[in-house]
Amino acid sequence: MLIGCGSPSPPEFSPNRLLSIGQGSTREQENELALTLTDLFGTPDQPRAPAGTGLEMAQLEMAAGAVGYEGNKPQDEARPRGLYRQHCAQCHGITGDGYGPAAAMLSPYPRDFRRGIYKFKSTTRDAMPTDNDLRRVIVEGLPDTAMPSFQLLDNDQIDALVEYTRYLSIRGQVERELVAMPASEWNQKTVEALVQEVAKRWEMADDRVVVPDPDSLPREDRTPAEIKKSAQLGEAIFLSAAAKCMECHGKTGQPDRLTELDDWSRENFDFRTETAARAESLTAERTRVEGMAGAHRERAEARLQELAPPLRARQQVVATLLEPEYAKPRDFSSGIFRGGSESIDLFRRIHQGIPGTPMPAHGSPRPGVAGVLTDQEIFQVVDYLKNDSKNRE
Amino acid sequence: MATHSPHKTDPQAANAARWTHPVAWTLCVVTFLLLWVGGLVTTTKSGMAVPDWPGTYGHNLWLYPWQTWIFGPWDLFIEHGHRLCGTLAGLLTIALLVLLWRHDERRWMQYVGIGALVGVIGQGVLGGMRVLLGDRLLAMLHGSIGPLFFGLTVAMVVWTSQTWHAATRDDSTTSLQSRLPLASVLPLASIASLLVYFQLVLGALLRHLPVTASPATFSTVVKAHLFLAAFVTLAALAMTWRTSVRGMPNAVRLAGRATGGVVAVQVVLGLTTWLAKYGVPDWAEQLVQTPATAIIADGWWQTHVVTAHQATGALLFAGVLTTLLLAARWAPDRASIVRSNRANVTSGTRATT
Repeated sequence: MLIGCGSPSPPEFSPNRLLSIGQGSTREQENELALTLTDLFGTPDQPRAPAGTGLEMAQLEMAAGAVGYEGNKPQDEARPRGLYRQHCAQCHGITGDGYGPAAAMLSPYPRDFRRGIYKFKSTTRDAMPTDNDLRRVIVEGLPDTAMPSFQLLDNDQIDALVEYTRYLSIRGQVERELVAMPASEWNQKTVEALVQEVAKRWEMADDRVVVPDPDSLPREDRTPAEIKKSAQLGEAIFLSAAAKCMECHGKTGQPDRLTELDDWSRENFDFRTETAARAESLTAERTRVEGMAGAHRERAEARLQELAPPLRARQQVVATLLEPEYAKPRDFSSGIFRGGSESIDLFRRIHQGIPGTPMPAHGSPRPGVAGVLTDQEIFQVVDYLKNDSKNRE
Repeated sequence: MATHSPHKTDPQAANAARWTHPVAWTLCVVTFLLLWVGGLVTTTKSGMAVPDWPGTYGHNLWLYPWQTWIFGPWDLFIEHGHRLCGTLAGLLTIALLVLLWRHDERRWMQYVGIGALVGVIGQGVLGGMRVLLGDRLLAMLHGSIGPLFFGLTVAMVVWTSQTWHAATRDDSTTSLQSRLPLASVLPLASIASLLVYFQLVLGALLRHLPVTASPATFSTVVKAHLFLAAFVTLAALAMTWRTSVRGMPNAVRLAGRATGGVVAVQVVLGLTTWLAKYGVPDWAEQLVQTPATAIIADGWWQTHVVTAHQATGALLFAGVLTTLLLAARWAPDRASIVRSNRANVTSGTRATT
């Protein structure tokens, strides 16, 4: 073949080794997990929709595979293929793990879909996003990040990308649950039940949309004076000890310190720390063994030999990880709100916090239970933030 | 001031240039257009929009229904347009080869014409194989060889020009003195040419990295590209500065200045490419206002800035190469420089005596 190039090998989904090695999975268990996932979800070129997930195969096929057209025909009736690889994989990676080629150069890092945690959505903190939430991010993009707006794509192409994102998330969540499940409990029934359980969380998303108390909604016909008054009350709440906004965002809305990791970096950071501690412990143990003699030494050396391969596996994983990144509280002086700048967007951000980040929920966690702030107070803070950022522009 | 007035041109050479030079220019312009559209193919990921080759969806390349081409999908328009442009470059190369064999008496120039034909065919086949095998390595090679062929067409414009024919090495002392700075332009232009080409290859590598490449690989290539950009800028500007000294032949000075301008545009385009593709990096937020809305993927702005950066890279290569060729044409040879130095020493000694 010309200069040694044959047909390129098809891309494969990468295993979540940080998770499996972290859980102490053996190589055999990792292989079995990979086979189970392939049985359930197929490959990047030939995806499968496991029963009960409600994933639309036609849409998955449109997003999956190599870039081109169905039947290799560009006529009107032919559908494009490989949309995910064309538009998303460069940053989010083939597996949706946020490890695309460009990932290390971007800040914030591209989203890892495998946990099913999305920052900007309309649902409660622990719920999955709705299709409309995913659709909105794809269509509008996220300002002040590398996530662009795909508004030029056709509706059916956007739908296909939404579906594929959901597919990658469900796959990643099932993988996570399987790693956590003892291998002895794996069988067709338990795996299917697990898939159904994960899929159900996605089905329920529409029922988990955060709707403000109708009495708290700001009237549309408010006068500038009324808005100003509301913003002043909001400012007082923002600066109050109870709301704790200042702790991260600063008094003026310009954060000056970064001390906390988000969930994605936390997992990465903990894995690195644990690996470094194990390496240090192994080195100390080696030094101790060198001073031993006889049968004691032989036993200790045998123990050391058992410890070395898992450590090597951990170190191999660490070598592939992105540097952990501190969560950056929003700088309100920029006037840019990544998850949308409508009042309802900001309300939901404050009410439920931002999932996966240190931004906590301030609203009522469930009906009948009081939150840190009432819905009305949250809208007052929203008025303050919107008013304040406008004044700074 | 020393002059470099053109010497009487050989009438036969002038006659050859009348025929070959316009065609060489046309080929050069078409090749630049080909590079630009090729850049668009990569930017819009249209490389696989037409799955067969050498035909287009089973049709002969030239007979593909123009309505489908013009009014069909955008990626098909770009990819098929790139192919049509490529065949036009091929036909022009054949025409130039025929003219060179008929009118240009320089044997080496005739072989250059053959080399160009081999080059354009090879590049076309490489592009076709990239499509048939769907291979990114071939795409990268295709993207790296494109600027080389463009460089060859630029060289052919220079070699068929009246300026080239008229330039002679007048070794009279006065002329020699004024041409000595050219000796320092030569190494700078050579280094700049090599650096620019390596930079183009790195750019092609960056643009064709597979989606399965690791973040570490991508980061390494980006950093190498930025690092080399600094050296390219320094080398090109140093070359421009050396070509601006008094007594420099006008053609060399002009080529040097144009290169300086192109390098400035290219640096701006490089920075803009990053902004258009990935937004404002954290470290630059104090310098550049972050837009309130997200970047539009594959929008006009993103598509054309990224493509222009690639095409201007090829133009920069053309600039340094032209300066190199012209400087080499006029630069005194080593023996003349030694003689000049001796003459200077002798006259200095006499004056002292």
